[in-house]
Amino acid sequence: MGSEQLFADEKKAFEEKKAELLKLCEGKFAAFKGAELIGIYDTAEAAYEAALAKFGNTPFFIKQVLREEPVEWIPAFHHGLIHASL
Amino acid sequence: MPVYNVYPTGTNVHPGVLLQKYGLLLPIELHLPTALANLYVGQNQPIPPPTIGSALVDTGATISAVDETYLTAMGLQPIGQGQVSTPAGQQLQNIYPVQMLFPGTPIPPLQSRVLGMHFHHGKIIALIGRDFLCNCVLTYNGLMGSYTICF
Repeated sequence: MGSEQLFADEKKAFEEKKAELLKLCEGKFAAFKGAELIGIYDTAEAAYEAALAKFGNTPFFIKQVLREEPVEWIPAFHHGLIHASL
Repeated sequence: MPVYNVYPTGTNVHPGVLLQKYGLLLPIELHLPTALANLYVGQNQPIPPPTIGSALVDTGATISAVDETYLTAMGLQPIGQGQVSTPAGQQLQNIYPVQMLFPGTPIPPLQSRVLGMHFHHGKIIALIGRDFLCNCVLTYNGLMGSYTICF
């Protein structure tokens, strides 16, 4: 599955709820499975444990509630020393 | 505060030359996150063996990354995606949960979220970024050819 398709439902659900989540719990971590919001957690680890307990070892979406999406910077990747193959 | 001092050795080359050539390397083991390992134990499922290799401390990286080949081979599933800057713009990368151990060092085990990427270098299986370094003091002594990590 390509990267754009993976978590498509979860991303859509997050965007739909983003304004509300920013008001209620900015900085915390939201866990989604499909369009379902599993819960809001203080840490990514807590979100992982809760989603894992409910859905087992399957892909689920953990997202920190932030106004702007961070862009990660890895020079070795940027300059081609490592690469992605999604 | 645990302190890890490293002096690259093993050849007749000065440690400073080795450090300049190879960078800050740490022994690393990739394990299942504790929560997933506990789930497997409860289900009487076998826990995959750890992946063993070297991690390169990369002070330029905002986040740690692990070779995705090993993450998927351990049965780990993605738990999100992150935007990464590339020469051609931003690119989505999968994020995985993983537990990182640093055997032979006092560095405590880390339950971490890492970017899954594919590395060209076979020995190096992980890049340790500033999400790790924000928890420690790192000293690079190029003249002596040593480095120190304090937690």
